Amino acid sequence: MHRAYPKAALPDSARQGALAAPTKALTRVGYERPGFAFLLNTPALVALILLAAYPIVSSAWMSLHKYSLKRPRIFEFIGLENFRQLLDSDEFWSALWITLKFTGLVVALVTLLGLLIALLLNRRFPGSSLLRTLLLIPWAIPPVVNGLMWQWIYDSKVGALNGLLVSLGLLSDYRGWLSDSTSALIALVWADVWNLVPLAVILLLAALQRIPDELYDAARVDGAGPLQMFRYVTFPWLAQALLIVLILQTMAAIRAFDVIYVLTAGGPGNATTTLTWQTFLTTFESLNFGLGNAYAWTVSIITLSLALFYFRLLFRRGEFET
Amino acid sequence: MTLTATERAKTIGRVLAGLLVALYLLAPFSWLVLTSFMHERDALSVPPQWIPSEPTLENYKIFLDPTGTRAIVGSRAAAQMLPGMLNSLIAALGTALLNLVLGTLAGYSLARYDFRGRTTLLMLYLSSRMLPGIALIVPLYLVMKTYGLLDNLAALVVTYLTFTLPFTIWLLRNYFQAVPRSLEEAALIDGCNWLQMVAKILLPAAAPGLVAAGMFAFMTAWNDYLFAVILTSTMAAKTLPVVVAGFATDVTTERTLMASGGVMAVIPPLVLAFIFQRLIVQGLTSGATKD
Amino acid sequence: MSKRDRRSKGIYRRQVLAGSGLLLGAAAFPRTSFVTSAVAAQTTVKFAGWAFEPQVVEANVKRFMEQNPDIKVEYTPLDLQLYNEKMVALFNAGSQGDAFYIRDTNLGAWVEAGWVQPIDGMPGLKELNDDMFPFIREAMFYKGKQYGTPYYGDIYVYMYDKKAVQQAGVSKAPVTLGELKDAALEIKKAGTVQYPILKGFKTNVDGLSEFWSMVFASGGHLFNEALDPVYPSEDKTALGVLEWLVEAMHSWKILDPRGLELDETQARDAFVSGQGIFTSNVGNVFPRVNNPQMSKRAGDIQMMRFPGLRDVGQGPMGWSRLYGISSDTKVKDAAYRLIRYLGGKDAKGEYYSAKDWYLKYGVGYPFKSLDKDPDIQAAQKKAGYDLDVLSQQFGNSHARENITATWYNEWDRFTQQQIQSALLRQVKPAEALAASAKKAQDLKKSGG
Repeated sequence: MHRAYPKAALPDSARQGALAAPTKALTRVGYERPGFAFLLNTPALVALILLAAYPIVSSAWMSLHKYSLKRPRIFEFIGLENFRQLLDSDEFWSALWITLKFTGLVVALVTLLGLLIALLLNRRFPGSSLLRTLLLIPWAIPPVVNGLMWQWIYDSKVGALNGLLVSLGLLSDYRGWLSDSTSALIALVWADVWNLVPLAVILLLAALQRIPDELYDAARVDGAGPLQMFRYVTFPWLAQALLIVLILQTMAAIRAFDVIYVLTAGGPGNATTTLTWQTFLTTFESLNFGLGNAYAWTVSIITLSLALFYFRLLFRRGEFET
Repeated sequence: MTLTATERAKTIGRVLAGLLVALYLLAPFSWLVLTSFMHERDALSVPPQWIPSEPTLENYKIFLDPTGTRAIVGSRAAAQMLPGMLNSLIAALGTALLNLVLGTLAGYSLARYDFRGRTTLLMLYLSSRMLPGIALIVPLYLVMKTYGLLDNLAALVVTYLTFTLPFTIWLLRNYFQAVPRSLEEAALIDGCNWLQMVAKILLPAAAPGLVAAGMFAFMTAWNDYLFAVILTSTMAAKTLPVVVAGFATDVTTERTLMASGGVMAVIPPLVLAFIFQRLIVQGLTSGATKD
Repeated sequence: MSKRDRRSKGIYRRQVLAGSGLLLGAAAFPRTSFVTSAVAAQTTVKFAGWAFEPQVVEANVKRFMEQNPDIKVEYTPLDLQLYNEKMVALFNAGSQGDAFYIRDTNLGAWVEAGWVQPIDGMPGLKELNDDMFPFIREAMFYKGKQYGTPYYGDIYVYMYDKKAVQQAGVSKAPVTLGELKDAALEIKKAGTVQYPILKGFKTNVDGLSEFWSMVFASGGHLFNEALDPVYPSEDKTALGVLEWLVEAMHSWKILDPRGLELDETQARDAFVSGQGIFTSNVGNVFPRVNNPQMSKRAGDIQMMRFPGLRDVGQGPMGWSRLYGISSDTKVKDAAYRLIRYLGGKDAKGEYYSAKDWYLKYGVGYPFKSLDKDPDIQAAQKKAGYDLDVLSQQFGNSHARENITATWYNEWDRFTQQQIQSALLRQVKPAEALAASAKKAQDLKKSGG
């Protein structure tokens, strides 16, 4: 028997259904027919192959070539030379470090805030359904507008944040939040987190709502405290959603473009020049498509490794059958 | 007696926490709203005007009457606001719908069938999304040209589909797993065919998941700027973020217009959420009565 | 027989046709009935540019079609924000159209990529070239060939609030950086502002403009003819300028450190809203700050000669934007007639488009003879220009020395970052410039 969905906790009717279901029904459902399973995947696979396959393969192919649009006739296979050049450059290591800082902060904050807000919204209280609707506001603001909005808020000359802090007496003088290396990165993280939190809340909340109340009742009968309930009831049900949140937010943070484009343009100095920003500069500013795609693939490999790491950590934990 | 006291304390605690969350969500946005009711010169004042001294509706009226009272640099962009919004809405709804259909099929198979290569397939879906979008621009443009879809909303829909589908599949797989198999089997015994079972049992039971997945797809499409800029060039397909970004030009930034554009961007998703919130409730109750 | 040979023969034949077409068009202009009858033999020219005031371009293009009924122009405004990126995608897919805008900073790279074709020897071109300001004419050329007609050209302008300066007891506008420092310190002493000089340093397209201008105004150089960097050691001007900026920010505290997070537009908005006494920005900001509808300090702002380390009578940096023609176009002559109209003269022999842009949006005109145009002079007087300073600055400004290098943009952006780092005092000015010079050498060596 699986761990996460003790049979005793199943609704009565469902249990009866399960008990009454003869093997004949299984045949009709066809769970053992892999052909049907593949058939169901065909539309999705066809769509992805038609649209995503060429760009992905073409990007990989370019990353193995000496190819700059400034010399478009030269398209010379050089193996992993672009990757070697990349690993040799200071720009790469600096951008990698900044990417890790940025991503780590964004993912940690989004997940933590998202979980807390989701746990709160999973309870009913006066105003809770209004709050659920308000939650959509940060999400519905396109990142390019979000970047502009925060730019005005942080503005060192006419910004709302400075105005607020000065009028509250918390700050004696207007500060340039984006002109200092450290505060610029933090300001960027904060703006991005605000934009991303709602998605995390929605996903986690949907997972929380699936948890049958009977499980909590049973745990309560067994004398479990709130922390134990979270550990043994909530968390296993949440693990899959958490996995998706972590992967999605990691990808969103590693590949953040719009908000950097608007808010800091990689500066001051190179304080917010992430790998994605470096990919952008190399590809479009320098028109070096070989090296640019090598950057892109390095980003992919890092993202994929992180995804696999989360996967190992959470996938089995949340795996259950019904 | 004590029980109700703790219940009350809990409720008060939750309301306070809810207020805190509302403040966090709304404070930055309210600055955008305030700015959208200001005249350009007031938007730049120090200290900031928390209440606009001369509030104005001009930044909204201009979308209806771009050549009207407020003469601005960039009146063209203002005229594009409403059509851009409509384009965004079509692209986002199309993306969400396609996602749900394709995602349901694939997600169901991955939730229910224990076939060889299932985990590989899951990882394959996921890994199709690892490259940064910036690297995909040029080849994707070529693909769309080949299909004859340039400057066409369909190009945006299918592009966003490839971005969101892998996650939709993951999400839906996850939600379908939580629907008891016994419910399906009961329906099939009652004489439903597979499609009827999906429509009557599976989807209502997984309604919160469908809504979450649909919203994810919708918002991803709604928010995209980079691909919309590259793949569209006229109002045949230009979307809202592109139009709003157009208020900043070489010689001017119309802050107040960008602000009202940002506020407008929030309205359609909120309206949709309101409509769907009812559907979620209905979905849940209908699933329950089926039991 | 190479393709190129065939093409040049075709070009010759079509030049003749184009010349006669121009005449025909001119003759036909007053007779509107001719317009409709000529529709049958139309050539279609696809034309694209970033969407700065597209309605002005549309009206202009319409006027061109009225004057040239044998040509139909399909104009597409592209989004201004990612213009270069989008054009790269378009070129790569072969859907770039026949004529388009080019930034001078992209010209070298686009030519080397084989996207733009030369227009040397096309009819009426020499006449335009002779009338262009030198720094603008220079920007039309790459490796000795001409690739475009000017959309506009402008100079970087240093301006100040003359009321505030007078109040602080400074009688004469500063000319050198030393005098600027003294004036700024006086103003600071008067206590009206904390930082008299406001300048945006956030990384930006063309964000090196002030730096270039100060170097030019000091009579210095960054690159030699062979495009090798001469800074920081061989020519010490650049180092002197950067050291002045760092000292101004941190020792004398006259240059606002918050400028590090402002780009040109934000710095302009801050200046317009009353912040800072001195600033530098693109030329069209000057009429804007003196326009009462757009500015709180209209009438108070005057322009001064761009300050350098010493007064050598030199001007600032100037830049331009071009209209160019695709290498793949099948309608070169019609496309040329369009860019000659937009970037030169109309059928009546007037600089219609350039004048229109200037009068409507203060977009700098590229032709010397427009200095004497009464409408333009009236507009300049209204905007409050000191016309002597203006013509001195325009006449002595320079195109950036390595602007044609295919690696210009990378070097520009890298150098902006280095300057930011120096201003943040993370590196010394000499180190920052040495890194920038090394970057230039590396880029040149690797062929960009």
